[in-house]
Amino acid sequence: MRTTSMKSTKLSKQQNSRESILISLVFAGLVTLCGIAYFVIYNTDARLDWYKYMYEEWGKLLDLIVSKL
Amino acid sequence: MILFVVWILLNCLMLLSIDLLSFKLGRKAWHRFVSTFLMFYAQIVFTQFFLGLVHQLDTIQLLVVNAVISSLLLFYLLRKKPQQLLRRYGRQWASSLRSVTRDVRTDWLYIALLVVTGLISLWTIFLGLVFPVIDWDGNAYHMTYIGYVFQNHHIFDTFTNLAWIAGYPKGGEFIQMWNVLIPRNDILADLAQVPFAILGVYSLYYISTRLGVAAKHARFSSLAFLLLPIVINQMKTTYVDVLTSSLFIAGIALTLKSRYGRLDFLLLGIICSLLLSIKSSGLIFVAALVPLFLWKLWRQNKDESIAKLKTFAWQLGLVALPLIFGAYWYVKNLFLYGTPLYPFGIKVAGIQLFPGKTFEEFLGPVMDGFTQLPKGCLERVWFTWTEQERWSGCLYNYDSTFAGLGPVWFVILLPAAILGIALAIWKKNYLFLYISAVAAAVFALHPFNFYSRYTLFIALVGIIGFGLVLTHITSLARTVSKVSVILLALVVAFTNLTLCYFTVDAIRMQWRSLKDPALVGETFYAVNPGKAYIFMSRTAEPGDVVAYGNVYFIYPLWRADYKNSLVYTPADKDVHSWLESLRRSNATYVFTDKTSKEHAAAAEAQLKTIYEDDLYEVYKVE
Repeated sequence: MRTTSMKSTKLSKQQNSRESILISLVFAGLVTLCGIAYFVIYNTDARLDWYKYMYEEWGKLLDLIVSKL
Repeated sequence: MILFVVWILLNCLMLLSIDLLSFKLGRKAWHRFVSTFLMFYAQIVFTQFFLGLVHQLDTIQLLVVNAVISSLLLFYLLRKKPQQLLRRYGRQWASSLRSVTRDVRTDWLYIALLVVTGLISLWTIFLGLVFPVIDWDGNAYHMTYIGYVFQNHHIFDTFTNLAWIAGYPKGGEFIQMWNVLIPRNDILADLAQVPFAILGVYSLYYISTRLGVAAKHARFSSLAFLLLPIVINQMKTTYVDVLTSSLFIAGIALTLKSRYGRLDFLLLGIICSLLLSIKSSGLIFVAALVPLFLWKLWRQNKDESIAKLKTFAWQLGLVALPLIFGAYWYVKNLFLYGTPLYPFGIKVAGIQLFPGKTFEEFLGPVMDGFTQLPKGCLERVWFTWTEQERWSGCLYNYDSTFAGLGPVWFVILLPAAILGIALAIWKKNYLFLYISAVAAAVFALHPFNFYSRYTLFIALVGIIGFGLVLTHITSLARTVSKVSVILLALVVAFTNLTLCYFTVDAIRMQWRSLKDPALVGETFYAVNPGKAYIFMSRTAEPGDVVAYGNVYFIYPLWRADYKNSLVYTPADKDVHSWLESLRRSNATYVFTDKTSKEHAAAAEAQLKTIYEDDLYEVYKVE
């Protein structure tokens, strides 16, 4: 009886683990697709310009903080 | 400064009395938080509403009424064995804090995300404290309404040029007004949405745990609400969209309770009342909450006999009671302007029920005018969510037409929403499916759903979905996902440093102007709303009357201490009658937009110019 129960728990664990791997893979696939869409395909000049501008602003902020220290 | 300290002490007294009440009613965790939160804002809103109705809405009256209410409540709660109650209350707080610290202490990924979101929020609060109100709608109508309350001590409509001041529901303004009326300054007016962002996060956490998400993952995913650029940008404004979405999410959370108590009915009524009173689209949100509420109510009462119908009526009455405030704005508009949604009309199936342009007719041509926007509904959503264009030179701002909900939404939460729904179908998680369907229906019904500030609530599907996904994936995938969110949170922090307007140079200059007010002419405020407004608010003496005509920004015409008055004097007839109306209203100055009829009339009347720039001209009335 105990052996049967242990077997069933083991089986259920294996099933859960297989299920988790499957869900993980699907999620990874979807995230990759959306990541590529956002950061590669639609990474327009308008957005890149904004990133450059923000980079300059962060530089200025760090300079300001350093100058106050 | 004294009033500011008094206001803080009053807030502490109100929160203590209400939280003690929640504690005594046996409410725990999120339910205690939400009851304290909502009853606190209900007290604020209803006392202002009542005082405004009787023309007594001013600093001292508001202060005294709330101090008396809270003191009486505290006295009532502490009338029997006060020390014992306070000791239990203190012990409960300490044990809650200990339990939170214990849970979080070893969760490094959560701590990392908490630090990033905390720093972003603190930065926004810092900008809110340092800069005055600069947002477009705030200076046009949100804050103008508050200025008029200072001037008139009532909440009724004032004769003015903007239909938004007169007609639009004013629940949001009532919440902002609390930060202004007692301290008698507007430093905290544009941070009024911050507590509501916290309400949104905690409510998302609660919903997630109710739907089977492990607490550890629910707490992580719910923080993503603070990583939506529109939430970050709006936290330093007098806009009301974060407020609306957070209340909607809290409403969903409240309807999920397995058995409603009397207080829950009242709280639901408060949520619906606030939703209705903030903006007309609140009607859609309230309608979306009704089916689940009615279903739960039916389940709760189905075993009761017909004789218990009274209980049912009593329960509905508790919901309806706070709705008086929400309904007031629509009834008032119907009587005064002939349409409950003024300045909008209502059309159903092509039949005009109430006069005026519908919301869609009003905003549609504006949106169609943007050549960058695709024409199709789904294409528009895709265009904004992929964030391909800048708006007013910025990728993000508080009212961005072209930006979506940021990279965390698009890269993590959107896939999580899709997978979460699939998982819910697979695992028969009907409640999550229902909530997703409700959110999707409201999203689909909204005529401008691509506009992220109107539909930021859709993030709830992604946030809960992400929690569900985290609960079902392998530990390696979970760690990778959480690290990805933290990295994307850094991207959000990186791209939202200036909130569009507050460049490092602007911050430096603003900081210097706080020490030396003579420098205010070189700050961002001199650009928006403009130097003319700085001139006007500084030139007007206490008791002076500033007349204005067709201008959009009205609020900045008041002095910082609100001791001058404003009057709307349109030049819609001949110059003589306009001059007569200026005399009748004892106008001291006339503030004009150079394209307005008032400007032409002032020139014709040869009023004395005391200030002029490219956009505005100010005259002295002698």
